[in-house]
Amino acid sequence: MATQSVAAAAVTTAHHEHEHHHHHESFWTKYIFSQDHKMIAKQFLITGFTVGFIGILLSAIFRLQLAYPDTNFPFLQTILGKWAPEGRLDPNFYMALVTMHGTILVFWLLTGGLSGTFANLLIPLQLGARDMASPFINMLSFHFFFWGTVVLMASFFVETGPAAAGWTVYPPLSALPQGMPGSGLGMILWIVALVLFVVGVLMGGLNYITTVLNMRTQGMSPMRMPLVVWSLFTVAVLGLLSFPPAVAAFFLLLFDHSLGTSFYLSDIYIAGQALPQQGGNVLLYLHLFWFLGHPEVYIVLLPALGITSELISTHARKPIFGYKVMVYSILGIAFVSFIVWAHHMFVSGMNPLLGSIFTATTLLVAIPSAMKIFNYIFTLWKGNIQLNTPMLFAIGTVSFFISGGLTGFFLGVAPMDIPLHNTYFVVGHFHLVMGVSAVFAMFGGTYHWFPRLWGRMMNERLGYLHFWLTYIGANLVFFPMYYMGFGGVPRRYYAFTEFSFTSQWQDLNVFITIAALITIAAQLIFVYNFFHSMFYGKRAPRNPWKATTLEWSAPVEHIHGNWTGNLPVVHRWAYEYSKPGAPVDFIPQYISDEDIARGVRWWEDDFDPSTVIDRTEPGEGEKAPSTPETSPVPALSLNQKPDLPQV
Amino acid sequence: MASSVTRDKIRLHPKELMLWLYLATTAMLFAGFSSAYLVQRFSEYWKSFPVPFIFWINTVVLLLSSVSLYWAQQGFRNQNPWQLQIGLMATLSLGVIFLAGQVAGWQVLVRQGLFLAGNHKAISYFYVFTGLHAAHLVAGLIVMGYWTYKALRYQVSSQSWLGLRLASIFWHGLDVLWVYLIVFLQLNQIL
Repeated sequence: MATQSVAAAAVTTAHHEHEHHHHHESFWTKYIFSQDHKMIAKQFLITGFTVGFIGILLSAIFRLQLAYPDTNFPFLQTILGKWAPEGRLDPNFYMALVTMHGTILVFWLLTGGLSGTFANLLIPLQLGARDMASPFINMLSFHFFFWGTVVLMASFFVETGPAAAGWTVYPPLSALPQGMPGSGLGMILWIVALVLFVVGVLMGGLNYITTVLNMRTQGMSPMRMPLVVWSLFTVAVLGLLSFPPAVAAFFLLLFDHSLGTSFYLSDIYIAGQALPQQGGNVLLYLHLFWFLGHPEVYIVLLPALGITSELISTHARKPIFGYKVMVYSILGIAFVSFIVWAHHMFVSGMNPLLGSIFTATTLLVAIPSAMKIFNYIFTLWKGNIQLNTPMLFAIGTVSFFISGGLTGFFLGVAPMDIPLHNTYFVVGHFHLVMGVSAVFAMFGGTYHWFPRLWGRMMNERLGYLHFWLTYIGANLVFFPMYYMGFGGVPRRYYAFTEFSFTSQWQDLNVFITIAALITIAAQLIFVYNFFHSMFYGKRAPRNPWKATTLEWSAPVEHIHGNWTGNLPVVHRWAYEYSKPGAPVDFIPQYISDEDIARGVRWWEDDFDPSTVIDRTEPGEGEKAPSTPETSPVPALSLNQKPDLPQV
Repeated sequence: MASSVTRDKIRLHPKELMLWLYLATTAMLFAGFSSAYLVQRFSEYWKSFPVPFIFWINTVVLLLSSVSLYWAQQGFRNQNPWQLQIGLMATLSLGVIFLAGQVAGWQVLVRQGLFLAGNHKAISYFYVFTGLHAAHLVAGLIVMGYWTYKALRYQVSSQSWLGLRLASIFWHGLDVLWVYLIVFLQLNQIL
């Protein structure tokens, strides 16, 4: 890749030397300490997928344990050493695997990876900005994320193993090193990793919000923004409001764990010994954690649904149905997500009256969610549907959002949740509605924007194979879990051999494990396709999907500043597909009615958008940031060097 | 030409907007701690303790630092380097005095046998609040030290208006945060 990019950069330099300043970039400034949002998007994408793949491999190990609890697998000892003596998984390490699987996939893949990739790639490019508001803080955002990843992975190699109290790390188990091995150093590393991760996410979020509010190109009014930008913006606001209280919870947990406080601890006996901690309150942790934890579900889901909106509209060749409703439903979901958190706590011993209030607010989420589903279906209705890989994955997202979301009704209502709580019903529900559906959107987005990132297409045949194996596989893995959940099978158990009400599902567990292993193996197709296409894929035209949004008007080469000449000026909304009277079924946002009358042929593969973009006046964002009216030195020019008198 | 289309942009410098958003995250962090504090106040193990008087002296010191910073900015606005230098040095010194005062205050508590560890939640929270504020203040002191150094070397130009403005917003923000914290903690001792 390096040689190609260098060659591409050289070509660009030759072409645009007179108008564009090029830095001499070393390997370090280009790939490691890059301040270019496109490179940072690639960093997030590859780090997210790599760590996500590790997270999925962890599930392969614990699925083997659940299906064959009495079998020795000598290869496990080869991989895990003392955590699998004679090939039998250690129960403590089983808990660690479950915990790390959840942490990695919820936070690292679906929060950092998903938002980090697509917000970095799409916000500046789709809004017509040269880069993020602060490229430097954007770089730091990735580096905090990356070092959080390193700390989290390092916890696999400490003596007592990684954190093992579940991905929610409830005290007292997580706060007492004597409680289980995983609550030792592994727990401290977990908290450190999470804090680094949150700092990274927040730095990114500050940039996303500021870029959306301040850096849009001329003509890009809020109601012309693509829906994916709306969702990424909303998610950044959600993160900004909900992550800091969780950090507060983690700090107090760390103090309880290591500094002898008792914020969460009270009346605890371990092995007959009474602990000195008194007066703490576990419910406090649950409230603080789920005040993040529930918005977190939408931090994962909203970007996925935003990507789906782009994909469905583009590949159905139809404007998105009910654009304004989509915007308001994103905002509505975001608002409601802040007042539903206690539906995770119906059995925690909190006041039952509070439970009924949170049941009512939880059911409210169904309204904006249903509006979105309705709009997706009506966008597809009578569309000229192109069933390519991105479209398949987008429809897959909607399908899982429906099948997983409907089971949310059961869990959102307190009397139904009480028997189903902590059973496999919950596992099936959240894996489908937020896990698989968001992963599908991430895959769809990757297939769709791969030509924008690397200038090459991914292989369609392999894409189909990847889609169908994953789609069928994910259903075979997670649907049976609903039955097990109704049967009362609890989650996070090491083995189901002891009780007949759980052991009766053993055959189903074997079935799920086999389906899971096949599905996991199918991801290798994607890995191969991803890296092979990066180097040897078919060269992509400038606008391979014939899409309307601005990212396809910029050259794909690694150019800091995105557009070689002017910034594009926006003349229409983001979904001008199949407009009656138009010469073709899409009109890009930067094409004005005059350009159409002038006979510009934007649909041809060799069309150069800069011929249109550079004709117009420089956009608003082109001018140097002007001094706001509140500037303390309105009378002075900003460009004079020192004008304080030298004393 | 395009004013009607672009009027919906925020009329703040992007970096200033980012700083305000950052202050919002800090506010949410302390909102999380405050709500935890309010939840645990009503437990049977809660014991109030008198906030040592020195913390009130520190409050006055920090408020004075905001005044001196405002005065320094006036100097910048009036292109008076002398006023800028004195003002920034005063702000920096008052910040250091505040931090030293906080350490002295913690020592008063330690001498009374009040530690972070243990079951005495009110005092645990007091250490958490003041400690985290102090950590933020150290960052503020680094920023203030940078601008004082620049001012003393006459490297402040009209281009510096944004950096100085951001530094002062951050500093006043820490001041507001401290006033909130001390009032919150004191009200919870009284009420």
